[in-house]
Amino acid sequence: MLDRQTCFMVAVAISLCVMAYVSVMIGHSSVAALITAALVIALLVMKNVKKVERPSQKKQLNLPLVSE
Amino acid sequence: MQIDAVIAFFLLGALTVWLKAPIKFPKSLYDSITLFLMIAIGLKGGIALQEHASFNLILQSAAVILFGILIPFIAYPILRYFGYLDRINAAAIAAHYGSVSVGTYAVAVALLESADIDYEAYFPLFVVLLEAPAIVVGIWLANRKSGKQSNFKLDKEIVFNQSILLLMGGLMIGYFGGASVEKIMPLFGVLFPGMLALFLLEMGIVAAKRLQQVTSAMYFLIAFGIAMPIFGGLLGLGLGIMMDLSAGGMALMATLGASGSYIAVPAAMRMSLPEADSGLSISTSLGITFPFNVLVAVPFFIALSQWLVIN
Repeated sequence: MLDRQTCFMVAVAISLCVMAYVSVMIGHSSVAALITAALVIALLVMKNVKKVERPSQKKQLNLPLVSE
Repeated sequence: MQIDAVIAFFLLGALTVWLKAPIKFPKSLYDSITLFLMIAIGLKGGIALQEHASFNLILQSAAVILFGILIPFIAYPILRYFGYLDRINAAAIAAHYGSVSVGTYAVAVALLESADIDYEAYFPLFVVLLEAPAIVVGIWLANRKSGKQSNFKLDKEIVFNQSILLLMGGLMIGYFGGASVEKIMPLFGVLFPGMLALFLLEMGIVAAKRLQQVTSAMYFLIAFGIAMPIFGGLLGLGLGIMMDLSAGGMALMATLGASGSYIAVPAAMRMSLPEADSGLSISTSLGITFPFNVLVAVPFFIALSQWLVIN
């Protein structure tokens, strides 16, 4: 059975597919291509990171802040 | 296939990072460009406000403020329930998404102007109005069970942060400056796309670096950083339809709903919620949502708004 995080990710992937379909329907196939590319990149990035179940196990990032 | 020159600079910045040949972008230049963009957006809005000030605009402004309050209340339960995030981090990230990104707004304006699509020129007023409400909601969400109160330092940070001051200042000067404003508009009007291109070059570098820093803690936030622009953008589009805006106006309202702050809110959150992990929120809004908006969501909402107006 899928957990909440996976369900959410599946919903996001479906939303992107719907956006791509709508773009084609309204005559903007170039936007559909961009959406498809975004979906592929997001999947590739997610494939390279390990899933975490609970926040207590997550690593604190402590990344430097962007220049204000 | 034609790509907008301004967007191409964003891709160029990202490309230099992926090729491991980063461009050294002086911090002072980045600060100057940010300052320029905010004043230019404010001035343009002030001039337009002079021509369009009406009771209807007050009603629209109230609706926009409510919109800014609503988004964190949508983002927060998603982060808590689906993302298993703790209260403080969920509230901090929700505040980022309720506020707006001036950079994303500037990109949307540039794309509309390059495509000759009309929009309500007083939109900078809405940008200013959307900056602060989410910060207040985020702090309330984080502190509501601990009973902490906001302090004066924080209130000052919310009211007097650089983006609000410059946007509001530009808006006031544009509104009250009358004909004298036209004298300085060649600088702030004609140079705007070029300055935006330079800004996006740096943002491409920063976003690509952030994307490289994505770690296991951000597994869920990658999906969230894509979901919120879609959801917030659609809500903004709905609000634009209710407010009877033009195609460009609807696209801009969708852009404001889709964007996540990476300047004003992080500064306020650092002060008010120091225990929140700022790396999580900034990496999500800047590394995931900003590029997604610039490359995908904004062109999509512009296309959808045009289609809605025509049909």
